[in-house]
Amino acid sequence: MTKWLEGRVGEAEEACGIGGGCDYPQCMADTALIAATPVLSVVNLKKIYGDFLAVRGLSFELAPGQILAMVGPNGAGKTTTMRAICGILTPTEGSITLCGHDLATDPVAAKARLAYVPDDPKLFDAMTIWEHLEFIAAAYGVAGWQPQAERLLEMFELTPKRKALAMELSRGMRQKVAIACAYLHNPAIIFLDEPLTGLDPIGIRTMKDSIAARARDGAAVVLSSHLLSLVEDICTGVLIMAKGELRFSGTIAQARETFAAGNASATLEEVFFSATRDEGVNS
Amino acid sequence: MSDNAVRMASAALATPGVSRGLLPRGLRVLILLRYKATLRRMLYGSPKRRLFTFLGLGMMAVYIVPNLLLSRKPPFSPEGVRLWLPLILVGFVVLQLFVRSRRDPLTFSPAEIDLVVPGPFSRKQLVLYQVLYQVGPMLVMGLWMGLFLRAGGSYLATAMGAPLLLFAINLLAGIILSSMGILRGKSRALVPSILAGVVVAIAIAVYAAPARPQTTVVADWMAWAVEVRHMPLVEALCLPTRPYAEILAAGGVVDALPWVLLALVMNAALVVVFVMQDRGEVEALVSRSQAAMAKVEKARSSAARVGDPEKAARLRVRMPPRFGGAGPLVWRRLTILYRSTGLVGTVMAAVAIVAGTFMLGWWVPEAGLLPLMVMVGLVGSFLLSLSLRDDFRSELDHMAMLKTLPIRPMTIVLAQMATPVLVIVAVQCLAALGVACGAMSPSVVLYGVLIAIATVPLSVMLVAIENTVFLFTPTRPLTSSMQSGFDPSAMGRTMLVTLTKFLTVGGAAAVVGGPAWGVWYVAGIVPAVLVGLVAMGVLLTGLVFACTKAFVMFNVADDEPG
Repeated sequence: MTKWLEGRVGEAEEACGIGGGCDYPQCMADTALIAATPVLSVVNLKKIYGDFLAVRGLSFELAPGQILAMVGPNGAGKTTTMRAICGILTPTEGSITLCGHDLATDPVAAKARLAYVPDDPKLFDAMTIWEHLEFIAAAYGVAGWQPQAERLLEMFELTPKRKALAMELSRGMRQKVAIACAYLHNPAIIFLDEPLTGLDPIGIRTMKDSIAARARDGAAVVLSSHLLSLVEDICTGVLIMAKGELRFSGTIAQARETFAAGNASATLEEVFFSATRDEGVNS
Repeated sequence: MSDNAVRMASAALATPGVSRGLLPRGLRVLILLRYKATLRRMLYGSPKRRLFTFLGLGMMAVYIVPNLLLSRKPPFSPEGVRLWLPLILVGFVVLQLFVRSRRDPLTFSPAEIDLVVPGPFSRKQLVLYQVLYQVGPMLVMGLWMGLFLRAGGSYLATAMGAPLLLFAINLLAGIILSSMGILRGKSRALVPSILAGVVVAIAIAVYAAPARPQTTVVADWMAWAVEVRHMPLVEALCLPTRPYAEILAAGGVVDALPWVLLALVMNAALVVVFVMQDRGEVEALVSRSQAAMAKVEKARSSAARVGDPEKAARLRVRMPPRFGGAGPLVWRRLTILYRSTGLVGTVMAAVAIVAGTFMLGWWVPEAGLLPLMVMVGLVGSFLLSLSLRDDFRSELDHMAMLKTLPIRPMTIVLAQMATPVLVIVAVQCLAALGVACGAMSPSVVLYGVLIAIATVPLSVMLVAIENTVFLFTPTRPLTSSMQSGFDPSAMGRTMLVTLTKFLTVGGAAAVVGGPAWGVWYVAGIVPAVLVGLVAMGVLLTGLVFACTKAFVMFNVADDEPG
């Protein structure tokens, strides 16, 4: 369970007075409510570059444990949306709330609860893998981070390379280091832009498993990918974008319902093509 | 289908329009398109780039127009220029051989390596394409270099001669390096060969030279030097560079014209020789360009200069307390800097600073020590704030990461600025130690340390200005030597930063010094110092706020190499 979710459940248990495992209906309802409270809320997000409207009034919410796939053709506005939510780009309009903290008014608290792995992560060439984790731990104020860092290195098969400088690493290894850094502070929301790029088959399997495990622990995951098989495999929801617009937001089954006339055997690829056509339906 | 037909069909598939002729149409079109792209980038880039281009071109015009309109008395006598310039140019060519052995006469950009080199072009065509592509930038560069190379009276003549000279030197260096196999990495004999050549030339000159004067009269030595210059061997050596010297010495375009024509013929001959040599340079140059490009790419990141990764990884800096997130950021930058410089490099730099300033302390009389140290402190702050880029200026690839950190923007800005300021203070303290040792006066160390501390606000101010301008108008190192030859927007940007620095420092002196002086006049030294400190604090806070604003406004999506 992520720290944030753990904290919220803890607060409810404290208010109840009995502690964990209380089967009083109100307490159970509180816990369920907390679990369903959105960790991310995006309202009417717009981003304009000069004359170009990159994102047009995007709104969606994300609950703990959800894995949301952002899909869409190149230039759909997926990376811009992610960067805006992570505080890298300032939105032209709209509000973003992360774990109850408004990104515009309380950016430090909001950013403390998220992790972002870009499509081509840039590491510090002159720092070792272990030092990257040390830096992230210090920057996010993670106490007793070493055992968790060891586990992450083990998980991503980076242990033998822990003392290697980033400049010596391959593309895939750099990707793994960036993901390990993202997981280290146990974020409530994880943004992964094309997370499987450069990974070997074992790395892909580990990555998929780790995303699912994080979601089971209560983290919300947003991933952007052109690999529709990945979306079908692990995602609970899908957000289809095209030309900066939201074309669909919902579960994969709902997407099939909307774009493939409920044909359960329709592939996600068929759904994708149907949704991103210019005359696509707005959800 | 018969075997013959299959063979014919495969042959047709295997040779899709092989380009023949001296320079195929595709390469001609590419040269024009690249010129057009350069112009477009200069004139129709972002508003900031256009502003800098305008400033840069304006600055060029301020220098060039008066030179075009007004005739100027030649700084040297034309006879003297005609006599000595050819020999100086020979020396320049030899010097260029040293330089060019590290910087290739031709470089291929990544796009050329991926799209042009694998194209249906011969090696000769590729070399000719690269050589001809350099003509345009060389002509523009001539306008600029003409200002500095002018030995005679005519700017226009020099502006014509300068590109011809640069072009010839580039080609000559290429031909020599290529024929020695240096370009293909087959030989490392350049330096010994040049040194041997110089020793032989000096030996012959000494053996054949007229008897040296036995007096200390300068005129006698000058007459002897003129005699040496007229020796057949030296005349022969100067023959190839004479046309270029004649252009630079010409009093007008008409005088220069015959020599310009001769130089053009010589340059054309050099192009033919260089292209016809065809000793496999293209492949070698491609791989060297790729290596150079990889270095540039690394230079763009914060850790470009690490030599041996295994050794570097052993160098550690202690993690300071968190300080709201500033601690880890400063630790990261110091670690990168330490590893980039290395232990030996750090020690050598420290020794060089102490040794250099030791000489100053030794030479300068005691009364001049304090002004000297103040000067060293001020100049140190100015120069080091420009050259130490261990702040936002080397973080272009990490801006997204910095923006996602749960640390207040102002804390990030202060942490980023800390490393160069700390290094500047350390250098100034070492300089003070050096001066004190040279002057054999321990009290000088105290003065030096006090000056180093007193110049901290100046260093902070200068680093803040550099970073603010950088964050508003980020730039990356250029990727090709020809690109870096002429970039009016870079010139304009440098001009703006320098102007901002001087205005801010001047303004700061007025803002801090004015009220402090007034208070000193009325109430004495202590209140005056307090007022000065408060004014300085307000000013520095304002600059840090400006830098923070620039960091917050920095748009990762807009970042383009500049």
